[in-house]
Amino acid sequence: MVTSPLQLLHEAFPGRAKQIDQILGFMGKPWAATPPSLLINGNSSLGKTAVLKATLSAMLGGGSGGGSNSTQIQTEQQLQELRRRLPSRYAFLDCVECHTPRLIFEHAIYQLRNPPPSQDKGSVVFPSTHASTTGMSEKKEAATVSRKRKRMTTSPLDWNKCENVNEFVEWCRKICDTKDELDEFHETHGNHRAVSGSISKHQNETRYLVLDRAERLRDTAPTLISVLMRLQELTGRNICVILITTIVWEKFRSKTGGYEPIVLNFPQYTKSETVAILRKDLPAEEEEDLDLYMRFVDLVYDVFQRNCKDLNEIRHLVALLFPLYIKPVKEGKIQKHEGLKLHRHIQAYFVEAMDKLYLREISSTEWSDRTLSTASGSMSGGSGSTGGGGTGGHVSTAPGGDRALTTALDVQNVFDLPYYTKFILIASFLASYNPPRLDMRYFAKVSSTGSKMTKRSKVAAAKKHGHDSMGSKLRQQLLGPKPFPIERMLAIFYSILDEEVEENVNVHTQIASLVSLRMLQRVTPMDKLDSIKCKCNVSYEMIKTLAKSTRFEIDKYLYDFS
Amino acid sequence: MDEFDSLTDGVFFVPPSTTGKTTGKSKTTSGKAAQRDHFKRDGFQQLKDVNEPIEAMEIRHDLFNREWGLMTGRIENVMRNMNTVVLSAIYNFVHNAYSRQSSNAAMPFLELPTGLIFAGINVPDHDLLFQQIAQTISSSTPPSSGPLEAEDMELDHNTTASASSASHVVILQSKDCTNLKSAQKSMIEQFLGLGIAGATNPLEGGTRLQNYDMLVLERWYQSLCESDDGGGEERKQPTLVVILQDFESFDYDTLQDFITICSNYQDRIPFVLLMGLATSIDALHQGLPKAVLSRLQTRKFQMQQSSECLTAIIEDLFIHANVGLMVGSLPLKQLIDQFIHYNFSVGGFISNLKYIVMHHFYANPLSILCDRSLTAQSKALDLLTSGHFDHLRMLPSFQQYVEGKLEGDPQEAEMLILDDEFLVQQIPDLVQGLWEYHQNFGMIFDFLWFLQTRFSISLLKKPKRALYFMALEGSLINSSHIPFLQSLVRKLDSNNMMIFVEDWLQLFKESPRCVSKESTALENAMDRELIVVQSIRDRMAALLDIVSEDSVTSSSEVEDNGEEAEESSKTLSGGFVKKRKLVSLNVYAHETDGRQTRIAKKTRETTRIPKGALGAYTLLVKEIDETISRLFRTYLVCHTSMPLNEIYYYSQIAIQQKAFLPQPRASIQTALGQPEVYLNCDCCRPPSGSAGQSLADMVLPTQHDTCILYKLYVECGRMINMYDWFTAFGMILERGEQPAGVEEPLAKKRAGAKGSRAGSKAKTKASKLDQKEVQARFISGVAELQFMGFIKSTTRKTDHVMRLTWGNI
Repeated sequence: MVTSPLQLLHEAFPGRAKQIDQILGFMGKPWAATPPSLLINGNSSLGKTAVLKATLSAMLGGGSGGGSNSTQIQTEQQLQELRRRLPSRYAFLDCVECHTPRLIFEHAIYQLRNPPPSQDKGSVVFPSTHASTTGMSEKKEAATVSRKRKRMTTSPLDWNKCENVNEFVEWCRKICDTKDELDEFHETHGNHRAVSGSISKHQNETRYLVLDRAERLRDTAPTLISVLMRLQELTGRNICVILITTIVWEKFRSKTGGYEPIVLNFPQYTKSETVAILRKDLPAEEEEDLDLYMRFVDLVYDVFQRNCKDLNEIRHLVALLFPLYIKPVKEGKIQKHEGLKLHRHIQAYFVEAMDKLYLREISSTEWSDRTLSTASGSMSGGSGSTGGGGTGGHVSTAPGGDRALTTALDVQNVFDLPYYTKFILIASFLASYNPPRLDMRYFAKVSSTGSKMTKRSKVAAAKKHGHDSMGSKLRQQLLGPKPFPIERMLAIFYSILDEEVEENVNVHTQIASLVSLRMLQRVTPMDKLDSIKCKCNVSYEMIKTLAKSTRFEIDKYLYDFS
Repeated sequence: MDEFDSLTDGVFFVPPSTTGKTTGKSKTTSGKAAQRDHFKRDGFQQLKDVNEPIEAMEIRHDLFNREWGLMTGRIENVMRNMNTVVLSAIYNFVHNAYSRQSSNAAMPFLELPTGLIFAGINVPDHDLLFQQIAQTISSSTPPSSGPLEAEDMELDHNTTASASSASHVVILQSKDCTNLKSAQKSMIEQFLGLGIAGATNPLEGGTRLQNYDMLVLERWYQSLCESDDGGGEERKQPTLVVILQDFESFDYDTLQDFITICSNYQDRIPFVLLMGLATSIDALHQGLPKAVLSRLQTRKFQMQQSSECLTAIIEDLFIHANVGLMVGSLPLKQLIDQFIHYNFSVGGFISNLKYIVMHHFYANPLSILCDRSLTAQSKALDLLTSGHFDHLRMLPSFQQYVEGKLEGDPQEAEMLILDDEFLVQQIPDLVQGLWEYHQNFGMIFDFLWFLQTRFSISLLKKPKRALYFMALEGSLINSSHIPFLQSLVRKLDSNNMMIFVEDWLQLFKESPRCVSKESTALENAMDRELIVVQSIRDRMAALLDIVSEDSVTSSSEVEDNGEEAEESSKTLSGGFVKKRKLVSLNVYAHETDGRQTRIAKKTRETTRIPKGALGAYTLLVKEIDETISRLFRTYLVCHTSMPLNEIYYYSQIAIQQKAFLPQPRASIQTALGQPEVYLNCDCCRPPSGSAGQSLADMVLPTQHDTCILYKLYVECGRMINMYDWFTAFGMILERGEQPAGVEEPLAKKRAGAKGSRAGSKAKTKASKLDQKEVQARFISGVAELQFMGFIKSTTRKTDHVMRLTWGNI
């Protein structure tokens, strides 16, 4: 049976056949001239990077391939051998890692001057079995090559310094001009003379420069984008730039204008495509449960697809939930065909997964440790009530022992603050959410005459602001915390404390440490020392638990809050 | 102008160089040698008020060093023990991070193993902790006394263990990682700097890689692994551990990129991240986006709460009296309050404690006696001078002691007061008595704790440190806490009572106080108590044996007419049983100990004390009750009743407060408003006419210029007109030229306006008050206020400055 690399690629990436064909069409023959640039965009986890990497390494890298056609076998093996040994034809850069232009240049040069990374250590997403023959050459003669094969050193070349675009362009020219055996190979086999007649002497294989997460380029080197777009023109060599990004090209455009790349969009996977991809995730040893697995995948997709479009997330969920799904089957409690029972069994876990796992409140190991260790009986027993618990506060411990999964987690989620620090935080919360004009009403330590005043001012305040006490659009609660001067917060602090506290330096150090813990956010710049303003960066739930632990009735002091 | 008027003159402190150390201990009185001694002895000086000899000072110095060494040693020990379990868990996590992954459920993509370490709110304390963690991880064996799972892991680990297979650890702090470049640079430099054999530094030798390039690390790691391969054995690759110490302070954008990069390189370099979180997991979720979070495989580790650490330290040091110097109730309250109220800082607690120890040995002449191993032969006793004796006799506890003696033995009391020799002989005994008291106290305190833990009623929950504090205050034995506990004991039913007594006996037997029998000659108070408890237990056992036999034989009958029997027993024992039932139900409800509940249930079913034994039983219960009561009353008495306790208990508080609870605002206000408090000058007396006013409210011309300006400043609003301020200042200076405040202000003003005579302060009244001088003094004063941050210039209004400090905001 003949499996062409193309077929293998198609097989490896369900639902991406069209895009692969497009890329291959774009690349053409190895030595063919390509358009100067290509932009691949699409949402995250749609296989952009994986597809491109796989395609490039299948076509240009030294993939370890099995022979397909006995007549071609020798030629191909030689080609592969060459590709593995000779400088890579493509450079794959991650723009997060290469966060300065210099890093981009130097990494690109390094990769283009060294053999491609070997596949067996390489990407996990694209298993090595899919790397295949180059399949490009259809040459019959092969014997000549072996004679020309020289022992080239395989040790990595020196690192080359390259600080600016000019040097990079120079380097690109140099790299493209170095003729190696691969080019000679093509020449000897004479196949590219047919394509590009007379200029064959200077025409080498195309070099590809791939920039993943190219949206970061806009921050690191905005001017570089237009340079890269015309790199082919600048160097005058056969070099092609491919950008991979999640955003549209329009966001890359600069004011000065520049070349437009060819845009290739990766569309969202459909359900059948998603299921086909998930199908590949099934571990080989559980192949006999395929039916069950597919049913489960279907179920997971239906349950989660509304919240989660990310393919990787669904894969993550499937990988973690499937062992739980088949556990009763393996234990013999439920028969395979009893779909409804299984469904009911897994339902409880779905709720948990939605709550915790998807939000990464617990990680995959913690999840698998816990779910596999806890008796499944308790979970299925409490399946009805699990939904009711809610996510009651992040700081508090969850009530009740029903939720076996949460208790262990929430115990660790408690953290304690020193007594006065709690009050500082409460005071800053009050200062952030209460209007300053009402401070007198809430916090002034007035004697008996004050109550009258308070009542009147309360009425006045209510009248003045009419019906905005509830449901108004300008409620501070909805607007978020407001900056407050530290002095105001301290005044509130001393007012809400029951006991007399002398001001000392510790109060101020605590404010500083709250800022460093990001519970208070300093609004004024660091170099301004006087009249500091802060915002309270803590949720109402947390303040409520803090207030509860100090027996402070926060609700009495909050204006227009619910 | 007075040459000492300026506050801005530089003052330099030049410590003498320590290079020219004298070899011998010379007692030369030359200035230089004395100074050298001064630094050698950490600034300890001979105390003049008691005329103490230099040897006494040396003893104090030595005692201080010994005592503080002991304390720090014990504290470190406590801290280490508190965290062993977590440390070994972290160790296992790191070492299994990459070996475990294969066994786990197959994940669609690699996740970066990440340990989240919840280390408590006080960030400054974390330095030590994370160094400990780093040490633990990079060592090739898990921390000792870890859990069992650590040990069997260790077994197979040890066979292949070598330095190379251990993890390599670096600690990143937010201050080094302001941006991605510096973060990477810091990490790479630290890794390369570890100096591991076999690893080559790719930055050396001509390559022109940049020092924040991850390829550097990759090559370094490759060379590390290659050098390992030489061993031939199949061993796991070393993991690289990156500790992000203060997660909250990191720049989150930097961190995102950093984690992404680490995760990208994960297939080539096995990274493990450890993040120190001071708050809660919410910080992680707030700080990192979903894309980054989903690359992490987190595991949480909760370090010991710092309040627990504090309690453990207090227990180890003071309750069990493992150190010589104790802390009295007031300073302890201050220490604990500062901890609970402000910072949760164990480090702060320790430095505070050190200050206490230092102060005690530095300033208290009697601290030469603060030595637990004080015997009659001790050198310290020979060094006592008459000044020491005076101090001793002035101690309240000593006076109390003598007064107590007066009635029984007036002769001895007199000798104590008059005869120095006799007093010297008595001191070791008294010290020994105090030491004995500490020992007994510690044990009975344990017993109290044992009682409290037995009844897990929330009303009872009092932390150890609170109980200890009550004991120090002397309020413990009279508090309602102990009678309440006793009442609970009384209400135990027979079987529980038996278990209780057994456990009690066990507790006493196990306590080091009773086990160590080196001093058999000395009659040990605790041994006596042990015997008492033993006898109670024996009698109890005997009684219950009879009862249980009875009940076993009659259990079938009882079962038959259970209702009846219950009725009868109720009527027989009257209200007692009824009450007991009610309360015991209450106790059962809170019972946590499984064994006890089980037995308690059994008790309800079977044993019921027959009428005959009931009387004996009640008597026994009464005896138990009395014993407990007696134990507490005898041994938990307040330390202030012990003679000479002042030598062992530090009880001052003012100096602590000054050093550790500074009040900057109050001191500035005092300094500027009432400079006489600090200057101790006698020129600033209130004028005779204004006796009613306090000095703070008045502006006196004799005060310092800055103070005058400050007082005028306090009266101003948000904006201060410089010219008004200046004229007011000039007026006050002029007033100083008049004979002390007899004239009317108006008259003064007129007189001042005509011809201004000058004089600097109250020194030279003859010279003329020059307008230029006033201006100069005004300017220098204003400059000082500006320097201290009271005012700043503003563009909002010409000729005005803005007031910055407290006032009308």
